[in-house]
Parts: sequence; structure tokens; C-alpha cells
Amino acid sequence: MAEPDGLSEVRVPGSFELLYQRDYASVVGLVYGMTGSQWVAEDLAQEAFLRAHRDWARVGHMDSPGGWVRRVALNLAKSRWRRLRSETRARILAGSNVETDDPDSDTDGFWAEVRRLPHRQAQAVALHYVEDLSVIEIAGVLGVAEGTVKALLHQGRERLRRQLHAKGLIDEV
Amino acid sequence: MRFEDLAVTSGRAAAEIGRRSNRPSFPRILERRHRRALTLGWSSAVAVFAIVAIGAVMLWPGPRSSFTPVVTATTGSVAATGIDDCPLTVSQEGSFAPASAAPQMSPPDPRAVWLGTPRIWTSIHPEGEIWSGLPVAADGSFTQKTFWWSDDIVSISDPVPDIAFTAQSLDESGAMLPAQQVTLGGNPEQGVFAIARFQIPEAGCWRITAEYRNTALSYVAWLQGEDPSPQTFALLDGSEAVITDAPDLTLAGYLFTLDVEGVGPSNVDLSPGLDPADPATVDETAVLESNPGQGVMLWRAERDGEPLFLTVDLGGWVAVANVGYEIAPSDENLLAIAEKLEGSTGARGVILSNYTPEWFTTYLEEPDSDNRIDLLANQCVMDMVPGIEAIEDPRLGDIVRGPGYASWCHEAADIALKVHGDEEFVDRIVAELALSRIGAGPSP
Repeated sequence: MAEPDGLSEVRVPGSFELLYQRDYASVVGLVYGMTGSQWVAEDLAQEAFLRAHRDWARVGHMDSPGGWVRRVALNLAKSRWRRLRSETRARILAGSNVETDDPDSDTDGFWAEVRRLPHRQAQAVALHYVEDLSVIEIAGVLGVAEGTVKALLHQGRERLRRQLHAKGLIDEV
Repeated sequence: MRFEDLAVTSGRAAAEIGRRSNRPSFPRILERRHRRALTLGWSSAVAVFAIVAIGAVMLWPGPRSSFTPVVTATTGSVAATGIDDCPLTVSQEGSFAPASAAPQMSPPDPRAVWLGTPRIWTSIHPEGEIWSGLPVAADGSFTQKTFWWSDDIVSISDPVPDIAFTAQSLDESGAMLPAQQVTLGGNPEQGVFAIARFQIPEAGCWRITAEYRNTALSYVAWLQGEDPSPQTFALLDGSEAVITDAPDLTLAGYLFTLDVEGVGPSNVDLSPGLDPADPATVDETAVLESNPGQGVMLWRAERDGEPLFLTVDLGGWVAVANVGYEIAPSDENLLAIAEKLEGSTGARGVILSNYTPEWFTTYLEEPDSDNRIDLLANQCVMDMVPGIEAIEDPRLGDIVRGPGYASWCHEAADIALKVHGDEEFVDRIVAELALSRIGAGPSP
């Protein structure tokens, strides 16, 4: 196939461009909570939008293309987390130094604890507190029932509360 | 500090970081990923970003020769030697609209446009049909289905009209072959149509023709040959992995569970070969349920009028959802599974969205042997089998290795690989995969 002369000439559908402009910052913020790195959050958010663009004929016709992008971004963050966890485990086995998750602030500490939650709980918590999404909206993003979201948020909050208390970040349990 | 205060403050802090982030123009992102893909090259085509960039390039059709054989019978070879020499048929949107009887009808693929006349019409990509990733039969031929409409095709229960479908090579061979099979299909969006299935023996430039009642409609398509490596798998969580093609290995199937809310876990087997459009067995019928996209059709199989299982035709690959084991095979359950199975075909894999995979296996196997490779998604854990060694490969990382067994883990793609077979087979696969890597792991 002939190679294009320049990718800057790639036509980006107007509906996709609107979504990208409207939701990019939100997706970065969401992924930041799940990764703790702005650079990684930007990279994964861009990857999620690339996938949406690549499959826009299908994604653009979904009820919530923005929800789809968020779900992909969260899954990418999850995959990265698993890789980091495996690498850390390997370093421990190899006896080498291990990078610690040493938060600089209470909010960093909060997200570090969120990342220790089971993925679904962490994702529900991030969607709720970063994006201020309702239970219905979170259900749409995660592709689960509203009742499931309520349970995830409840379990996530309770577990988080205990973890944060143990770290001395909150007073109450 | 109270929990809720810290949570709200932390949420706002993360959102603020998102707002402060640099948002590059989207074409700029595409360009960067494209350059990254070119840097990695095919030899390390495992990188997800490379695939994304290539996908982006594919979206840009590039300059093509203009050729507009709308309704004409054509013969003869132009001896095309490459895609640039192939007179791909292009068409403008709105050049033809189906009959007034179906004013809302639209092509199966949103990007496609209609081509033809009320007597016989089809849909093509406006910049030309380029077929890639087609299923490859054991004899090396490519399977492709083409879809055709006519005002004379009204009901799926009617006899198949006497339409002659042919594929003619425009390369040196000039081979001409008829459609291997013609059936009728239909759905509410695209009405009733004829499905002409071809077994095309070789890649290259092909003219596809339908002749019906003294009218002929042709278009020229380019059939992309098989790149011997790598094979791309679109994984269920949206990520992708690439596996080096071993010449005598074939992708044999997928097997995974599908957790359908309100239905429960259901077994889904994705296999090549079975075509639900084929005549059903004696007491079974296959009914087209819907057509979510080009090459993707949902069929509901029944036995003696009772729902039996659901098949999703992915253009050569067929997902069979068994509903008879743990759940009642009711219409409601079948449709719930159908909704979950909405997806799209990849080069050789398939993305299934909107569901929860519990476990998932893709496997490749060597014909006429017990040699086999399993790829397990969401199970990136190496088996620590007593009595076999763990060796460190500079590219793959730790490999658990024995005479007839090897396994390792690719964290980035969250895939575990397990090679089973004789010692020579395990040696060969480990050597081949070590040279190409799987997943977007660390660079060699």
C-alpha cells in the first residue's frame, strides 16, 4: 500500500476531535490517580484516544464513546500496574533494591492506597472522586450493573479507610 | 483529617493535574506514534504502539489510481504487479442509493458506500477495497465473503437468485474462479442480501463480478498477502500481542468464559472453519440475528425450534457460545450473550468488548503432532514446576524450561505463554520467540 506523505494530513473526524478536546484532561486526571505519574497518565490517555480513533467507526456509534475511552485507559493503567508489580516481585527475588511508593503529600498518599485496592474497586473510586461520576455513569464506564458499582464503592471506601488510617493519613476508621 | 475530605481533595488534585497537562494536537500524537513504530521496525513489531500507528496509516487511504467501472462486464488481465498497479475501484458517497423500498438502508460498514444499480449492488470502501487478514485455508487459499443486494432479493426464505459470481486475477495468472458458495442473509439494517464466498488462491489484484439478468457489476480489490510474521492478536482487554509465525503452526482456537450479567458464566469457543451460513445439520437451523458490522454477524442456532447455541460469525472465525450447560437456553439469555459478543475482527484475533473475561486461552498447534503453544491472558504467572530449570533470557526474562515444556510471562501484555511438545519443538519456539518478543516489554 502507498505510504502517506504526512500523517498531519490524516483526517480526524469532527466528532472524535470534540471528544478528544473535551475529555482528554479528564482522562489524564483519572489515569493519574491510577498510576501516580503525570507522564504515564498522558501517555496512556493518548494511547486510549488512539485506540478510539483507530476504531472510531464502531466507537463513535456507541452510547458513550467517552466511557469507552475511560475504560480502555483504566485497563491500560491496570496492565501497567501488573507489570510493575511483577517487576517489583522479580527485584525482590533477585535481592536488588526496590523502588518504594513514597508519597510526597497526603493526596499522593491517598492515591497510593487507592492503587493497593482491587482493580475494580480502585477504578470505581477514581471515577467517583476524580470525575465526580454518579453510580449510573460509573456503571456505564465499567460495564457493570449499578448495584455492582455501589458494592465496589462501599467495599473500596471501607478498605481504603482502614488503609489510610493505618498510614496515619486520616483520623477516623 | 476525615476520610471524605481527603478523598475529595485528592480527587480534585488529580483532576487539576489532568487540566494542567499538555494536550497535543491529535495528528501530532499520530505522527509521534508512527515514528516510534518505524523506529521499532518489523523485527520488533511486538510493540503495541507500532500496531496503533500502522492502524492509523491504514486509515489514511493514500493516493490511488482512479477507476470507475460501475456496471460493466469486464474481462482481460492488466498484469498488476503490486497495489500501485492495481486499478482499485473507487466510488463517491451518494453515487447510488438503494431502492425507495428501503430508504434508510446503509452499508454494513459505516465507511463504505454503495456501488451498483437497483438490479444488483454492493458496498465498497470509497477509496478502494483492500482485504487483509483473511482466513487462510489449509491449501493456502484465502476465504472472503462478499455481500450483494438486488431489488429482486426480497426474502431470506426465497430461493437464491441465479447470480453468477466470479473472481478474476488481474495479475499474470489471469485465473478466474466462481464463488464457492452463495447463500442469502439478512437483517433489519441491510435488508436481505446474497453472500458470495470465494476461496481465492493467491494474493494480488482481483476483479470481483456479479452477473445477473444481463447486467454485470464489477469492482477491483487488492488482496493483501500473508506476512509470514508476525501474527497479531487483539486481546480481550483491548491490548495486543504479536507472535512470530512459525511456518507450520496454525492458530487453532480460543476458549474462554464469558460472564454475562443476569445469565452467569458461559463457555465460548472461538474456532475457525465452521460457517453458520452453511446449511445446518438435519435438525438444526441457523438464523441470522443481527449484523453489527461488516463481516460480523450474529447467528442463533436452533434445534427442533428450541434455542441451542449462539454463533458470532467474524468472517472466517466463528464464536460459539454454548448456553445449554449452566443456563437456560432462552431467547433472553441468547440475546444477552449476543450483546456481550459485540466486537470486531482484527488481523487474526478478535476484540470482544463490554464483558468480563474470567480466563482466556488462545492456542496455536502444529498439525499432526501434540506440539502446541498456549497464550493465556490475565494469567501472567509462571508455573514453577519441580524438577525443571528456570533460565534467564536477556530479552524474554525468566523462562521456566524443561525438555518438553517452557513457559514465561509477558507482563506488559499480561500474557503467559506455555509451550508443550517434544524437545526440538520447545527449543525452536523458545529460540524464535526470544528473537521477536511478545508484548510491549523492555527493548532488547
